[in-house]
Amino acid sequence: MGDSALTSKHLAIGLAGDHLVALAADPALAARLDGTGAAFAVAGIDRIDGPAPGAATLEPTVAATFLAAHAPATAFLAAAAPHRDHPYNLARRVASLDHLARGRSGLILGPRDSYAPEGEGGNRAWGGAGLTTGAPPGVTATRDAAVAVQKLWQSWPRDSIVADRDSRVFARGDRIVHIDHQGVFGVAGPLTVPSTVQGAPVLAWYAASEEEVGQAGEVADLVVLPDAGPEGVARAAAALDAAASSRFSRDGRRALLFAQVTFAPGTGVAGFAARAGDVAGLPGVDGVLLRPERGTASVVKEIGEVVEEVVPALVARGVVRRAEGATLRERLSLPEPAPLLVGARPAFPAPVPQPPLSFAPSF
Amino acid sequence: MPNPREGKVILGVNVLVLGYLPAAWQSTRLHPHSFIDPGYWNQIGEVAERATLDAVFLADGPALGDPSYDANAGRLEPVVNWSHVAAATERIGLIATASTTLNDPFDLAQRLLSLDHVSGGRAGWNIVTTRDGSAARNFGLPDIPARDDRYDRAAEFVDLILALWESAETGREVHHRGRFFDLDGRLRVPPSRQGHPVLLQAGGSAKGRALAGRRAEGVFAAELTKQGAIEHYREVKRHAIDAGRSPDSVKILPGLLLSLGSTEEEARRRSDELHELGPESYSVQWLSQAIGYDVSRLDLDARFPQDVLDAIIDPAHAGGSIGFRQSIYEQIRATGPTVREYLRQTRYTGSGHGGFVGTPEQLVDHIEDWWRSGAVDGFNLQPDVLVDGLEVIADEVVPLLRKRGLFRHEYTTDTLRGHFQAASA
Repeated sequence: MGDSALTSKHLAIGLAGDHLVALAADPALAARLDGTGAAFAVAGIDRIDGPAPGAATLEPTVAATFLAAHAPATAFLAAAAPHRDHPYNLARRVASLDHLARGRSGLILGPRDSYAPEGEGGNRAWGGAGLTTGAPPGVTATRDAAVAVQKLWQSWPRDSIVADRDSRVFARGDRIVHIDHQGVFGVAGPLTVPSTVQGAPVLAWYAASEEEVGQAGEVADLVVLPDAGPEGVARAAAALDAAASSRFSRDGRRALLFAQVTFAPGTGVAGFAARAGDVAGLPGVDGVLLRPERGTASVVKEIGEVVEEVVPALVARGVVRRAEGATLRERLSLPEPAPLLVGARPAFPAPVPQPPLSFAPSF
Repeated sequence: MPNPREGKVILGVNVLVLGYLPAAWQSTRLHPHSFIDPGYWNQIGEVAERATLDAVFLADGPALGDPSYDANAGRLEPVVNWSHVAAATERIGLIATASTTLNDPFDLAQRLLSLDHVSGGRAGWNIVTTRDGSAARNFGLPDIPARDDRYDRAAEFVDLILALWESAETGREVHHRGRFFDLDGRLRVPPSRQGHPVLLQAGGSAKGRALAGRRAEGVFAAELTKQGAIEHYREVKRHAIDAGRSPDSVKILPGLLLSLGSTEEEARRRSDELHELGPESYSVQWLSQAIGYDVSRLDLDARFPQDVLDAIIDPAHAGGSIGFRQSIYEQIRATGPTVREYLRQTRYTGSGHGGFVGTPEQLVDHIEDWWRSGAVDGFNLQPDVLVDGLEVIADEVVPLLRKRGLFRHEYTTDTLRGHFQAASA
């Protein structure tokens, strides 16, 4: 397999709600995710990849933060939809996760939250909060949330923190800006935390339809495509190529394409690895997302099968490679995000150096 | 002879990120990014757990204040912050503040229950309504709704969250039709070891205290005088009894701002230095915000004008928390200081929350006195600089309390609700 490093692709693992519950209950099991060498795991993928909720779940930013502490080499994307959740809260929680996971995280958006309840208002994006009438959930609201979230992640530049004990200025408040976002959502900003060690968390989109792939390609770093044949993957790759020139950040990049391959436990690892290898080899595919379905065995046993058998088989065939790099952006060879807030309104006045002290601090 | 109150003191620490004073970041034990450093947060959790404290507590609002001179303006989202600390600790309670005004109840219910579940039943929710207009503008609103509307919404919001948490245990759907929310569905987050998170309440308005008596298991109060604290303690316990609850089911835990030293003089010097290291205009700005009046327009060497004092306690007047305003008003009325004297005095006696500057031994005397007087069930301690202040609590204050039989020697309960209940005699 001398050329496998050239042809092998990124690996991601999609964890559903019951996987999260089992992993959170067993830190040693969670730590075994580190052995997979995956570029990232998605926390709570069943929240955004289908119409119906699973039997049990955890809120993905909570689960990702908790699991990241137990699996210090694993990166997590928290799954969410701007449905019952607001872009400000979402941006804040994922940026907090990214600080606490030392730049090993991100957000994966979908248009709808399959765990959301029914009810007047609650069927509309942010309508369930009872503050505004909300907006129709869907591609437009998701795209707008993706833009607002990425602006918020840049609203407090990390290098504005000077922490100068002589002038007693902690941060250059005048370099922190409002985002003044006016779209489906109205968000003034800035965010309550500075930008993170990897610049910003990775923003991904789980695109269920072809229409979504094009929209996702204009706003996301990475797009996940549900199980598809060669034609579907080719159309998605073409849509991402076409979207590169109309990205809102004007960075001209093509979003990374991850193709989902569903694994049904107990159906044979070799056959699955061959199928995943075929998908990974399709033109335009940057990575495969291994999505274990629930079978009839215990969740713990099925996670064990993925970690101990399925992933090693994919590595052995040269389908995927072990991720390298401290941050998720490094692992995916993604650059820091292009600046989105040039000329934005400063949030605070410039600080003035404080007068000299008449004493030497004693602590 | 002190009266023979049985039971134990409850102790929490309000971490206020790096410590309650804006100059906390200048401690030589911190680095510029401590406030967002996972290692810093692990250390706070571990020292608090070594002290066998009941809980650590994070205040919050979803908007950024000016961090130019104050690192504490930077705030990780509390539920995520504590999810990280939950992985590094086993027993300490983890209380997160979250707004009933700027959240969706379904989303917040699953978030809080998820923290409660992964931490093994150690989560608490401090219920606030948020009064900061800049937070509203992060959620597409021109301003925050009026106070009465916020509390009406909070009451329905809390009831709905409790119903959703119950649905997580029973599997039965919630069908809610209310003035603010309509919802049909259930939570699929597993219940926690303590069932669901402990409810705490922080507001000091009449509606806030009524909500506390009806629903809260803890009140994070603002008290500057013991007499005021005793009256508020009885008021909330009476509300609890009126709601058919045991008075023991709601714990009263005022904040207490701390500067500690091995002598009283050393403690005062530490407090003075930390105040001098902070931005010059900080105390004037703080008081202006708290009372809704531009204090820089007052003659600093004159007493507070009567019309300003009247406005401080008028609930219709714009300004900060009613609970803080009441305690500030009572403090000014007690001694009639000039504005400058008041601002200096607040260094030692607290501003809004009560303050304490002295030795660990004196602090333990203070805690015991208020606890035996029936003014409190415990305190939410707020060290000036957390990184060393918390160590003094663990290594000096807590051992003295233990020696007096007022605090646990080791954890005997696993959950936050269990910790609170174990304090009752």
